[in-house]
Amino acid sequence: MFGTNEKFRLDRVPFSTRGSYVCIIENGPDHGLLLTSSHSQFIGDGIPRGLTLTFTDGENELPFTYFCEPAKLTVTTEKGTAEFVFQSGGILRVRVTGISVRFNYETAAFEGACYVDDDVFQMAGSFGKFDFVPIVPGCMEENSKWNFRNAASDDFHLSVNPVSECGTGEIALYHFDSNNRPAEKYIRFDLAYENTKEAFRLFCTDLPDPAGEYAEMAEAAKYLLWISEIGPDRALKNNVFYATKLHLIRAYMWHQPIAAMAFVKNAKAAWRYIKNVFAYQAEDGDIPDSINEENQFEWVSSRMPIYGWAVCWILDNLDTARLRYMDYDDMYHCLTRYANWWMDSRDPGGKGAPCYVTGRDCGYYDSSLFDHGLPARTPDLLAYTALLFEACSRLAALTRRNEKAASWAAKSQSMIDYLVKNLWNGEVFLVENAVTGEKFSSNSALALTPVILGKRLPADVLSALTSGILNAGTFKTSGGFGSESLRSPRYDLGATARGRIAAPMQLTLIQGLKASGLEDAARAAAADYLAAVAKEGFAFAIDPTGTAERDFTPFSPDWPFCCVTAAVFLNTANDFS
Amino acid sequence: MNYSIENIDLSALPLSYPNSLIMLCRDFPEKAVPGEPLPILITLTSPVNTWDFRYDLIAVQPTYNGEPVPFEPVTTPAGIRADTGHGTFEICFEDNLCLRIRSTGGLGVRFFMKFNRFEQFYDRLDGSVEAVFRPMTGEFLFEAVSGRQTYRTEYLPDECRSSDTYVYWEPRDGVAEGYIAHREHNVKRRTLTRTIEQCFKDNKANFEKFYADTYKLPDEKIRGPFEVSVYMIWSHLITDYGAIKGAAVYMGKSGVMRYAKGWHQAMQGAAAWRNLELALELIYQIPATADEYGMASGGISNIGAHYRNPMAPIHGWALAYVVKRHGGWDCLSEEWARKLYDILVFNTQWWREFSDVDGNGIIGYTHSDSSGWNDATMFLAGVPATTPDISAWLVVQTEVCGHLARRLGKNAEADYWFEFSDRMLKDMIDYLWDGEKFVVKHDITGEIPPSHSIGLFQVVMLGKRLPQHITDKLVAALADKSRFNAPQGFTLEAMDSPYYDVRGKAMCLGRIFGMANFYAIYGLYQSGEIDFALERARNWAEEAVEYGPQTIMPSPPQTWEPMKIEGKVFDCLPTVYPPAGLSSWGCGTYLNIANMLDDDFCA
Repeated sequence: MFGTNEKFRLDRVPFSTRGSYVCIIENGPDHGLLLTSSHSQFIGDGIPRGLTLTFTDGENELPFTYFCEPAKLTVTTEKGTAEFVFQSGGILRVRVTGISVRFNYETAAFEGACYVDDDVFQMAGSFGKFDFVPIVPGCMEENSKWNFRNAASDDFHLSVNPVSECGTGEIALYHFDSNNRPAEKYIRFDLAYENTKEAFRLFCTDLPDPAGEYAEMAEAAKYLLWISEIGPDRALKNNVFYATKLHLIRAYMWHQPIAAMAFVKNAKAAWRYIKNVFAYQAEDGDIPDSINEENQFEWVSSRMPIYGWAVCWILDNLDTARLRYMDYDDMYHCLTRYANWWMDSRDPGGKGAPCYVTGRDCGYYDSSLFDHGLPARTPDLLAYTALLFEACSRLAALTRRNEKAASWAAKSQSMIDYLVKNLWNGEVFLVENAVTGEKFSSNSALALTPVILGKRLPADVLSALTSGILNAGTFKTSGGFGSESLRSPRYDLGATARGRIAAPMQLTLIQGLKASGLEDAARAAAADYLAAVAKEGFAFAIDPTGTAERDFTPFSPDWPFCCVTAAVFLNTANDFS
Repeated sequence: MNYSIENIDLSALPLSYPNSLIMLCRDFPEKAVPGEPLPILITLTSPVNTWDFRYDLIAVQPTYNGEPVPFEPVTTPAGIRADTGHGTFEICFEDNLCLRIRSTGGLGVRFFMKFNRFEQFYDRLDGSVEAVFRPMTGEFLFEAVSGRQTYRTEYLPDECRSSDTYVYWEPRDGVAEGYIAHREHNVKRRTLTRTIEQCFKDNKANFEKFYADTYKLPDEKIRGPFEVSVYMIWSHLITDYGAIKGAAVYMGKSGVMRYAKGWHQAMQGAAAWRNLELALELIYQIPATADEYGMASGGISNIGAHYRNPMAPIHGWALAYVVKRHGGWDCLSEEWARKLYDILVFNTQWWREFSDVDGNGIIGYTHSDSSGWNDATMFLAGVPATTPDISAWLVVQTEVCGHLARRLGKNAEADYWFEFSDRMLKDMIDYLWDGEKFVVKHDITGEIPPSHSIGLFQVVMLGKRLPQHITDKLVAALADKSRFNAPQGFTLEAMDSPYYDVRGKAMCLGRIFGMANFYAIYGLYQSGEIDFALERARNWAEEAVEYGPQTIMPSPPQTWEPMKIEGKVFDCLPTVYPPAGLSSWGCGTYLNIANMLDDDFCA
């Protein structure tokens, strides 16, 4: 599926598995392999450090190629192979045939490594612990030495060597947070491989199978979603999708409904992924910006209330036969509390329409939407809120709360009315500064988001809005919709959302065009975007010019492992390819 | 430096409040902008981003006619008061999430904030304004209840943050008064029901009650550092907050260790022995963080516990120490006895299963930090290593398990633990006593490193449990003025060790450390060396009148060049200290040492 010199490499997608913090990536200018642990340490950390992998004949380092499939990474040299298979999220099996694999580690202070049992070599790093346990006796050797002044081991390496009798060597590499009791017996290496392969196949049954030119990329997208799913574990009460496994190692809540929308063949699964978010809902009804397994929850930005849109999309587009009263009822309670929080806490001045109070609230922190200050009533927020209220209404109806259904429907209509009456100037949607009351036009594509309301908008408004979206020379690029008008003085491809093609924005605009009855336009835009992803990888925001050298440093919008982009790709490919 | 709670130096220690993560401090005088008075700094203690702590989220100061005026704050546990010549300026805690601020005599108040990327100031349009900080810091809401609140700010879209921001409270009828409320999210406006005078009174009474319930000043001469220690613990006590269930004392609210470290809690519990319930809560806190295998965490904060390595199992010792002062094991309720028994047995089982690498029944360390003495020469030959201190702690802890089992009527289990404790002591002596001293042995190679660490002598804590000939040698080494016994206190590495180094940034190569001094002093006392122990205790207690209840006391000057150590070197001691960096670590130790000076102290 991936593989050296092929289209998808480990510098795009790490080798990992569902529920695991362990990854192997291709890293750095020498394209070496790095085994890392993708635990969230502190918000803002870069790529985790890790153990570099080298392959030797016992003396000399060997050049290698690798081939990666979802359940196995195979490294090939002229003298033999090394294979890596996840037996589970916490156990990586490593088998060598004819060659040795060497795990090399440069320690930091307090990072120790030593034997903790006859056959168990343990490394206690700043990112959890690893136990190296030989399965083939006598295949493991290491050279660690404690450095008392660093309260750590010196840099060390551990080798897995072929044992002369069988020509192979094999270890189990455990990853854990505090303690580990290694297994007494192990399943066969090949059975571990088959089990993992089957687990991935089952995961994929809920995801779409786009045929043709995007089939291979879709496999990679499914794989990326699969490996990004973490939990339940410690502070994670259930399973969520992390943004990436190598930086931003946390689950952003607004990504979850987008990820859920990829599960087009199982509405129940999609519903569950949305519902999982609300396990973290606070007493007041709000939900965190992002969470991680270390209980480092960030609350200070609300992000956009995208959940109502996602729920409405599932109700309108997927087979909901398996959804039951309890599913609707649970979601009703979550969403109504959440909707009330927006109006109670994010409507400064009490105008009847909510505001963003920080630049991150909208999901695109460097958008030009906020050029005229905060708090701001923005068209995207009001559109999402209208659909949030509509979702509450529809869920109320599905749970036989007819009066509530009518009340929420009225609220939804009021929000649309506010949007149209107060923010539509006849040509474009405006942004309202809540403090001064002044209104401004914006060159951000976020101002186009009300297209998700489709035919709920007055026909003239919808017509003008969709024309604005599809006009050449504004937002439309050869790779999808840019996040800022090409004519904007604020256009800047160095920013995430001032011109780049941001993945979630494609989903809203393309689905919005479809909801507006512009199927062909939606299909054309989708084709552009799918082609761009196929070329650039699962970056959060693609450079529409395709000319700049890609920046793979942490936090760059070019980083090509984003789970949310994989979800957008799958949803779009399912609907439009 | 002034170490007194009558006038707390805010550059040395913070103003804070029980169960609050809010702290106030003042920068060092040399940081003052020429011509500008140093403001009071308000921040939130957060365990994240350990090495990059922002102690200056909000700067506040009194103004007159809009301009800052000089002020000299007088800080007590109740709050801050400053006379300015125009009027008074006051700050105190309303509760753990809210500060009250008032200026009189026509003074106004000015707040200043700098924002990082993704941080924001905004008008809530209900008379209040809000500053939002990250990571995991949260929201501060400002509202003037007397006077007029205005602000100056701008949103900087390219930088995704607010500009440098000022909030002003202009006086009305000579008074500007309001509050700052904090929550991580959804901060709400407050209705204030007490006067600020009443808040000051209530805070003072709260502190005094805690003091009276928990500690007793043994000697008027040491009132200053003693009461500062009490204040530090009162203000660093976090109870039922986030991941902390029960009570824990944060090491610091400033500095790098803004959480409750493992062994530290036991030491705090011992110091607070007069307040039995609190002492038990503190001792129980860390063992109760045990993972599914029984390993206690290395420390805990409101966010969570961390498990790289556990700290030394001194909780059993601390429990025995407290119980003894309450007349024996019957002082424990059945519920406490059961909780403590279950958890100490569980912890002990972890040490036995996971930390006896060579399987000889004598437990060692797999990480040097578990001993507390992370860069000590005990670990010259590396880990896993069997050291005498871990055995000593477990001898006591298993003995305590025996007492607890007896208290619960589990006599067979009690007999088991007492026998286990006796056997462990005997085995440890057989394995690690070389006739002259205790040694460390590497668990795999058997190598004995040339260590001169005080950790080898910490076994003196076992007192009369040890054979007299061993105690005599341990005492002689500790008393030797060319080895550990410096005028300022006991050194962590012997002064005649080739590794001794108090010039550099190592911690355990000779620094005079509070905790090690308490171990040594208490051990000497237990061993019958009462006069020597009390002389050293008094020396420590009185030194702090000048230096404060520090974790590390000044060392004698090292006149020779320390040995150069090759390879990676970790600087345990920071190069730059933030203001208000006094640690409650030194304070707990100080109170334990000072408690020994009390007339009713017993071995």
